Amino acid sequence: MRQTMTITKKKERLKAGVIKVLLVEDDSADAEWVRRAIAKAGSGTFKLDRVDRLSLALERLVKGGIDAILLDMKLPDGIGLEVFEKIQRAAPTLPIVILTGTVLEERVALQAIEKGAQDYLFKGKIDPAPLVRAIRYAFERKRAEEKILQAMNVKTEFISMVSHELRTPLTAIKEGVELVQDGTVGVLNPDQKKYLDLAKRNIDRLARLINEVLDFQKLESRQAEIHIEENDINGLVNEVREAFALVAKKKGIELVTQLEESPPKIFFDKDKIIQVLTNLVGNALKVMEKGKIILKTKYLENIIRVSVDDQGPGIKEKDFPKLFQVFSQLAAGDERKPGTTGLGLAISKQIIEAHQGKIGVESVYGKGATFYFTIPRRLESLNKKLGEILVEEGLVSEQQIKEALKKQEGSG
Amino acid sequence: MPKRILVVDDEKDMVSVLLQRLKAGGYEAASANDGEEALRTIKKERFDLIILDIMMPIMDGTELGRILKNDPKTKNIPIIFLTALQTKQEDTGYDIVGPDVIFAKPFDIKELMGKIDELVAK
Repeated sequence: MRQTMTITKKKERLKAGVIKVLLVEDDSADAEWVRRAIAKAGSGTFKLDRVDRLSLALERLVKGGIDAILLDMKLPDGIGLEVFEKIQRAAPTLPIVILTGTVLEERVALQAIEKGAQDYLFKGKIDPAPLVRAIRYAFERKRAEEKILQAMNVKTEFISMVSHELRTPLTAIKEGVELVQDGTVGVLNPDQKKYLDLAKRNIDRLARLINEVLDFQKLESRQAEIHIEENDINGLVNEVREAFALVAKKKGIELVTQLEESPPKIFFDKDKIIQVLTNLVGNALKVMEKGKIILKTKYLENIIRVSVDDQGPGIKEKDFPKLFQVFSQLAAGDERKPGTTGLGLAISKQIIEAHQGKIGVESVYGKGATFYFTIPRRLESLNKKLGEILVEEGLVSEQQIKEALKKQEGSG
Repeated sequence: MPKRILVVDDEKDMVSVLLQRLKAGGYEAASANDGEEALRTIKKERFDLIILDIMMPIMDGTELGRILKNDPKTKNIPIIFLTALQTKQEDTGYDIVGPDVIFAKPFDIKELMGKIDELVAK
């Protein structure tokens, strides 16, 4: 409720064209310089509010009504990146422009930019007009970013909701069909059985699709949990090979391994990497009528490379990038078969990228294909949500993740 | 004496197929439409296991689960939660200890029946 009110007020203020800037600066001379610059070039557009301590800035932000922040990162009660991070945490939706005094400080300012600050300016070395323009741009850019994030959240929430809503009726359909199909409520003749089997197959396909959509959405929104532990890659490959052994044999396809001799143990999420390899081997089996599938592991300078060679029809080079996109369908002739959803490789890509590895394909059309992925050797366990890992590795800003997650809490 | 199972779900079709399946599996099964109705039924009759949908009107599955686990008379009845959400243990509102489990819809009926057999055989 209170939030709605603040938003309404904010809208009114912005309609009037006034951007309220919070200046966090302990040096009176510097503050005066900013005040004058804004009075000269931005009067009417900006209203300035100044505090000289980090603690006061945080207090002021709680009250609301601020549209942008000009921040000196050297304050009596805080210094450096930590100052920026605290301010950002208190006001994740506001644009922050860093004020920096020295070249040494510039480095810290650049780090702040990486973490989501909009811009940085050298104090005293900038004319009023560029200062005002920088704030203006920072404000507009931040607003555009917020809109994109919001749209992404709406999409994520929608996908999640639709998938959940689909599950309930699907479960009743599935259980109902199964009751008849397996003869629990009476004996079936062969034709009846045939068409119920068909129905059941497609129910399972639909269920798998819904699960994959949810899987994908969780990975994409960085909600998925990753449990990275020390694991044996050859053991994993053998596990997957055994799981497929029977199906391959039935199709008359040979499933063999060529494994690196005693590779070092590396850290990865076992269940998720099994999911990737299962997908790759499953795909290979689907495109082959006969022949051999080779599962390989290779250790190269702190990287494990796992690959699956098939002797299927192969893939044209121009189609390589499409393979890893969501619901991509290749040209006619590469008919999709039951069991494929078009999400498997997209999910695999996300999982491998979460491990900071690479996934790809090599193929000469007409001569089979090799799908491979790499996992760089890391040295420690991690047991976190994907988003948290990405923040720690410095790949995205905490603010980006927080915003993306905020709307999802409670949506399941 | 056959073991008795209570199915609590507001989805009538779901209840119908589950009851049929349980009867075919040799169980005696009853149903309730929501948490409150389930609570009244559990007070009157004896059950060896409860199958509990999480999302229900009036009183949802997690709330009912909490009430049952806090009552000495009912705390030992194993619960199987059904959910269309990706519910995790902590979302049920209490520590699932021992036999209680969560099945995500759409679940494999053989797995569910296997779990029921396992839980009530004790």
